[in-house]
Amino acid sequence: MPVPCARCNMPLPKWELLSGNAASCPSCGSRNTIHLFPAALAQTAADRPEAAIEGEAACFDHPGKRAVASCRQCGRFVCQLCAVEFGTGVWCPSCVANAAGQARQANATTSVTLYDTWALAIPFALLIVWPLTLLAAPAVIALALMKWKQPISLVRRNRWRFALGLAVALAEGGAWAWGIWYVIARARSGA
Amino acid sequence: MEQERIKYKKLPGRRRGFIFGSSVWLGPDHLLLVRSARFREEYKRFYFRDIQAIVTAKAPRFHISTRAAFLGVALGVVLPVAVNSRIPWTIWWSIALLAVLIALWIYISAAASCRTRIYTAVSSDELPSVYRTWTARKFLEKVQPHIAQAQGALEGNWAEAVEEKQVGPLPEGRVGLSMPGSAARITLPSASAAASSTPASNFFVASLCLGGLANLAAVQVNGSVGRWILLITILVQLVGAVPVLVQNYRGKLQAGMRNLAIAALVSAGVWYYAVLMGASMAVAYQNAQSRSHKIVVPQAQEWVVFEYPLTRGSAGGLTLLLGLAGVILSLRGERPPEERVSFNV
Repeated sequence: MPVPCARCNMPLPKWELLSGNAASCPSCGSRNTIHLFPAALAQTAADRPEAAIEGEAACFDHPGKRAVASCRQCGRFVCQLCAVEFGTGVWCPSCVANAAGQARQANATTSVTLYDTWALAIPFALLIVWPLTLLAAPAVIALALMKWKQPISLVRRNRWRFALGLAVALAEGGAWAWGIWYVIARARSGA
Repeated sequence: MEQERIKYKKLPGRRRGFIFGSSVWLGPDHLLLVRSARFREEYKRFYFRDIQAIVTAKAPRFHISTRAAFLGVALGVVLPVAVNSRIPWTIWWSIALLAVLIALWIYISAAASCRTRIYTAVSSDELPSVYRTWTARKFLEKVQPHIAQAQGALEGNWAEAVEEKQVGPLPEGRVGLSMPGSAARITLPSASAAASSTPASNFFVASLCLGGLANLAAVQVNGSVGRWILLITILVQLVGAVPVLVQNYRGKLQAGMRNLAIAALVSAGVWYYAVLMGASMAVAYQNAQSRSHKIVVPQAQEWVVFEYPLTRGSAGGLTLLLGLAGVILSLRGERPPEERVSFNV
């Protein structure tokens, strides 16, 4: 199977690849530059026979199948089907089942909610419907204070959104407090 | 969050859209693709030992980043100021600057852009942040040594060897020579049902372009006439945006045009509030500066606000930019179905 075009996914012509690492796609005409790595030529599970031959290590649960790794916890041999990858090691299904809590810890984070963006967007967005800021301002202050010390993202991200959102929410809260105080004071002076 | 916090290093390229963004980060043994949608980030890891290939294809990418949009809006404000200023050459300099920037953006988007895909045995993912050719070059310079350290390097010509292998997963529509019984079956990718332009989208784009031009041309006409031109063009644009959203919802129109309609509606709302706030501040300033005790009530000025040349000029500049984006979206034609249009505008 030749290398696919990065734009339209159609196979790139082999005769062009023979002369270098660039080829034009016959379908969309885009000029592709290919950087291939040894993993592309490595034997895949589909290439190699799974059945264990005489004298070869076999899977603990499937004696007829060739072992491809050993469990990091118990050391049992596992076949391609049984091998469960967690972080830096391979686990067997029974160890995953026994240590479900640990397995969850090893699971990598795939998404996070950006609370700092919420804390910034809410006080500004609700200015359009300004009466709602009476509820939103304390909510944003609470959110910012609760999440301040927690990691925001897996990658580098500073806290200026939290700080700005907090400042705007405090200003809105202060404006409400002043407004309420003013109305009460006026009512008293009128009476 | 992970138990041991990994320190990631930013790799060249970042895509900043109005809603969607993307970047790639370097970890100790993997690349981390970060896709963000304003309030949420999604991660995908590519371990160095698993990466089969990184392929870049030259392709036009008409992406409007938030920074470029900010620059466009700033110029859209500066231009009417220049028109109204007493220094005659400022208008020509402003127009020339705007033209040069637009021409540069079109050239870079058309001639110096690319799509980059990363392949493993089980995945084929686009790296949306690596969309300029120079970024792709820098990105590969940084990444290749790490992959080579994990996998080694390929010796000699690999084209013959790779012919018998599968690079990336076999998606629907690819010709699977190694799959049993599939040698004779050749399925081409099905064309996307959604069109890049329809009569409704053409009307919407035309309303943006003509509305923008009309407002810019009418900057120096009588205030009352200019106000009616502005209000009518905004009304036509709002009416034009509705069928675009409906057609996209029904799957007849691609997402790029929907994003443009959303951008037009949002920018109209933001512009309206910005104008009112600006006018209110101007009235407050006038009251503060005035020696008489007669106070000008801001509410009485609401309609007069739309007669100011600055107001009409900024609206014209903004809608003209959106109209140009719409023309490009219409002209660039159909795209393969698996591509993510939502990352564009």
